[in-house]
Amino acid sequence: MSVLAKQITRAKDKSQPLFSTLEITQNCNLRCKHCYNFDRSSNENPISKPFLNLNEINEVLASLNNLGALSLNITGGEPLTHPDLDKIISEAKSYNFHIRLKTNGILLNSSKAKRLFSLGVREVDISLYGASETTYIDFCKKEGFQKTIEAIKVAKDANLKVNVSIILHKLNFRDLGAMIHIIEDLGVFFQVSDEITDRYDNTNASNELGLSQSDYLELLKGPFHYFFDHENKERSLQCGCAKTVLGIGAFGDVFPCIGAPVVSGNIRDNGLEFIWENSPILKNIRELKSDDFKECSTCPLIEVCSRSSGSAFVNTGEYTGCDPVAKTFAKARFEKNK
Amino acid sequence: MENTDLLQTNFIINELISWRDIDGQILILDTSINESAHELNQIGSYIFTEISRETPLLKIKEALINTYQGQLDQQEIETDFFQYLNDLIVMKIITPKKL
Repeated sequence: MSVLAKQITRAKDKSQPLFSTLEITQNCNLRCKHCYNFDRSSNENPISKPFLNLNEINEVLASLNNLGALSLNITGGEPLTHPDLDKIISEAKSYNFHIRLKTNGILLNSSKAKRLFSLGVREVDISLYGASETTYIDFCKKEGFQKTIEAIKVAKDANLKVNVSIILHKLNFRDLGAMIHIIEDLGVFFQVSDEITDRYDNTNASNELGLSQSDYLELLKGPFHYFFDHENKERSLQCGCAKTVLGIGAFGDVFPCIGAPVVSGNIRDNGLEFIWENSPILKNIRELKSDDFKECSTCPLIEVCSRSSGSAFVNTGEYTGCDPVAKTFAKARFEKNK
Repeated sequence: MENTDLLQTNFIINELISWRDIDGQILILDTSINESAHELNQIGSYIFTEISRETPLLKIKEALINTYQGQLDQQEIETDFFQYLNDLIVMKIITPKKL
């Protein structure tokens, strides 16, 4: 067992949120079709509540420090649009968090990348939505491909550790090889994200953009099949939600994970530490047993399923239920293995 | 660095790393220097925490000797202490404080 895995197990036993994500805004410079925040294709702005202000964010950071958080993911929306980003990072650095910034990279230039590093950011997670401007215009409603590639270069030059997240969807999955080739040439880490979930405002994104079973089978039979050949021999159904993982939304809602938006309290009503320690929802999630995942624990596909409770919740409203998107992919794996 | 020089130097934790105490053991995330995670045992965590508070090394060494007096040989404690400090320096987890 690696050092990190061993210590994560120890932190899990005492519910220490080592890996915390703070959404500082839902404003964004892109209008991606798949965005999980809300449907950005509408001209109406659905944001009716104020985002957390700087004082509230500082209170959250102090609470995360008291709770023993180690890694702080700063996300959005697009965090680089936040007018107080520098102040937020400086405050976070004062607590020695390992600071990661999740960004589309389009607003990142050389001087900004250097400033982020000097303020205390150590990693950037840059999303890549395609291998051409055409895909970006279609998917994100704006040019951005060249700017994203430039952002990866300047971030690397500024000593930031760069992780590229390839976001696969129906419009770009046949460009996977081209995207990997570009990233390997840049010499940075990357991962492939294959699931488009529904949005947190309950509008549907996955039917239109998500990969179908036949799309997935094509990927499984292709040269990059190893990114999709998921195995779950131990039939694991549990994750770090509410144990070593914690999410705080832009309006102060507290979640067991930013990818599992089960509202467990709001920091405007109670402090983060109180919610983390007393929320009945978080307690229930911590106490879940494999048998509580009734449909999944007896499913014949579980050993090839990459199910996450967050996606199941977003897509169906059931945290312990079946995620239909993950099941579609599991069916493709099962078919390939036949 | 010689042991006597070590004791006269003020060290701080390298600002490029992050760390947290997990039930008495320090976990260090070090993506910028060694690209790895490190765990420190209980005594290592004590030394590391005191350095993070900028406690003089001489005081840390004396505290260790007082704590383990009768259980461990003083020479052995000192040897292990300086070896541990040198490991932290080589890995750039601690650095001399610039005045």
